[in-house]
Amino acid sequence: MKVVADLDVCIGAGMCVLTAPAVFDQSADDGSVRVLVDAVPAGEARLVREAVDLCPSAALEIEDEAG
Amino acid sequence: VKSSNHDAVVAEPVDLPSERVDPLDPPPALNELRDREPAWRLRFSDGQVGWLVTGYSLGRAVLVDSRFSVGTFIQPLGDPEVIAETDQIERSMPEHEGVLIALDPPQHTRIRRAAASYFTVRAVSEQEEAIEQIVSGRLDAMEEAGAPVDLVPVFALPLSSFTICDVLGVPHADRERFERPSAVLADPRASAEEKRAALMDFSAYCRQVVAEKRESPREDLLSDLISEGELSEDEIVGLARQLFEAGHETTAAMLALSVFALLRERTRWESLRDEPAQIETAVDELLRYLSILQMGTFSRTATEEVELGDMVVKQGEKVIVSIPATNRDPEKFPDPDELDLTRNASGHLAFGHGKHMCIGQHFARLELRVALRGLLERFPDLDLAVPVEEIQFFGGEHQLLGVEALPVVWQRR
Repeated sequence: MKVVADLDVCIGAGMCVLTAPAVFDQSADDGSVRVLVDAVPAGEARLVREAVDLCPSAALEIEDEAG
Repeated sequence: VKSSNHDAVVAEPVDLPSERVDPLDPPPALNELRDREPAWRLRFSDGQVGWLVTGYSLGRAVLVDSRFSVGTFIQPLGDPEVIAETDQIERSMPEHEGVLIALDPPQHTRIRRAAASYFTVRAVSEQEEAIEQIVSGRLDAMEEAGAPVDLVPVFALPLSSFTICDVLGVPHADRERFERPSAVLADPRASAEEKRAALMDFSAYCRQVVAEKRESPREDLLSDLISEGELSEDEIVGLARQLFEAGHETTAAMLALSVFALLRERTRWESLRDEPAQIETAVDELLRYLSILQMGTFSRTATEEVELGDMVVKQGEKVIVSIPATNRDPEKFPDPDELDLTRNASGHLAFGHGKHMCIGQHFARLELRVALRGLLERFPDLDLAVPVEEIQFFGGEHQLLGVEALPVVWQRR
């Protein structure tokens, strides 16, 4: 599983970091999301789905669901 | 006929129900609307007809939809002339261009990002010790005053005011300068003239603070914004005003109301006392259950025709999402009227959703957590000083649900 972020719409609310801190971080400059991993570890998949769902600006998307 | 299933589409517009039976439960008539349909034609207080969203998923869909703009501000309840005049005064002020809640992208995005580094999950968690110190100071003040104490002025309000003072870098003694005008602006009984005066005072104070920061910068959000030079003076003043206002009132109201909710049924207070690890989950459940933005989100305006589910919002129509109704939607939260401190309440809309979701939400969570932990540790036998029925709440036309006063007692140790 791969998760990608659209930095044009991200508002830096930090819901992703709150939900899946092993996968997401926020830029210290403008709070925008940083995806920390190329492939989401299997153990984080549920939390990443929750983070994608919770994102208030719909900035996160899951690509390559199976991979 | 298809539309016969959809009461909202055929029904006469409703007024926002505001009559509560239990002070902590949404008005029963509001719950009933939600249980019948996720959206209703709503009559705003100025007579304009728009939409009230009561269903959770539809509410989220509206708040994330970029076809809605902020537009002029109207409310479902309250004196329409005072609301319109205050909105007009607010819009005529030069710093209006920095007030996040009144902005659309791209201005909104630019200004929010300029401030965001102070509100990230990490930046806020680094403030935990500072907030612990503030809380500890307020607990000392309670002890010095001796029981009974009104928790609102001695604990809840100064705690949240001091926190925003620290973020923006002003002395704690300044709290009067933003608490007073904020209270007038929030008061549904205040006249347009009083609100105008409050806005002028508030604005002058923020302008003075920004000028002082320009003169002698320190390590705080406003000094950073000035030195970065990305925002105009007016934008910084407007942002400061919104942060001062939003930074203290909501958290203070939420904190005092949370303590009331826990003390009203003391087993809840005791369960948190015996299991402090539960506080973190409890905070989000309290946010969901109490949903103190009782009037709903700020109104949004459709910039084009928007079809979401069975709701068709015409261009120019206004929509509000009821936070109390959506946060008690059984389709999202099973057994929604139960305050279950162990529930995973994530996804609640107490901080809103979409690009205007509360910028200070992590501060609010941290303040609530540290404050509750401090009270539980210092005053494990805290109790209401008066019978439950004597506690007074803000009126139904107030933006916020909250207690007017919360007298509490404890045994000397």
